[in-house]
Amino acid sequence: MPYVTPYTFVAGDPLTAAQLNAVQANISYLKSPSTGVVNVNNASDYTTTSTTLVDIDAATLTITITTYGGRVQLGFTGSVLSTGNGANFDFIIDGAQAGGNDGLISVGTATDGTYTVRSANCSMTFTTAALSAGSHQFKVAWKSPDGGTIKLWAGAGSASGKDTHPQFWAREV
Amino acid sequence: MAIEVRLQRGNLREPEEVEPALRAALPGKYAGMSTTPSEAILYLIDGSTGDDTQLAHDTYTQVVNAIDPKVPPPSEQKRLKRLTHLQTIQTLDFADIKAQIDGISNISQAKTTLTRLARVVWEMLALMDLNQSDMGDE
Repeated sequence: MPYVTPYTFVAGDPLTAAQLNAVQANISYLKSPSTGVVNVNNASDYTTTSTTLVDIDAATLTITITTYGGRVQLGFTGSVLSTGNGANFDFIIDGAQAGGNDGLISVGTATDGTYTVRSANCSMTFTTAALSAGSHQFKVAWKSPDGGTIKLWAGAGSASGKDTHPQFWAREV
Repeated sequence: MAIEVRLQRGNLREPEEVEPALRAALPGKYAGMSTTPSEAILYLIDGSTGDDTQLAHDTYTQVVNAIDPKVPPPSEQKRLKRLTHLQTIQTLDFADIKAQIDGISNISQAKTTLTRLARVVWEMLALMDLNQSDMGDE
């Protein structure tokens, strides 16, 4: 049930089951608002060399939820490595960048070109403006600033200590 | 927005295995690629033609089909090369070299010591070159 604008009681109003049930439904919605969660555990990691923002995985790292006019909080947790000079990340909200330009975050990474040295934390959160009631799509996008290969560890266990699992979530607030 | 060419990932382990061929086949048009567990997505710049898309598809398929899974991927080959150079450098013992230099009493001994030092310098240069090619412009 969606959240609805509560009835404003005035002195002398009789309490009806419908009004009380609407209050109950609102409380239920506030406890469990529209939410989407993606936990990643792949057989191989993600990579890109694109110097423009592209979806990390349009099939998997995409969340579509129906909202009721509120803001949406987005979160992404991950670890990245690059053979170049870092990586940029952004959320895509209904096809538009959340951060714009080079994205929400720029991550510096250390490399010896073999994906075996220090990974960088590429986690980020974002709160949208109030979105119109209806279905909305959220994605995570990334790019390589210099065309080096960037790799998001995705549970493949392809290097020692790199069997990490990204998470992506969206929740109306 | 770039034009996306979506393909089955096949045997590809790393973008480095196919990117040199794609850049050579599509100069100025190939703009990078992404991999997911199942797909490879090639990006061509706007204005690329259907022939370019077909060429990207064919090049990818040809290179990936030729990948020998028994041969380590490029990043592993670089790691092994780097390890080899490092191990050679790590055999250098400063006290030992100094003792050799102190003990030089003829041209033959001097040549031997200089050759050993030159070898270390060469290994260091090779290592620096490997790092430089991977790191890009800092």
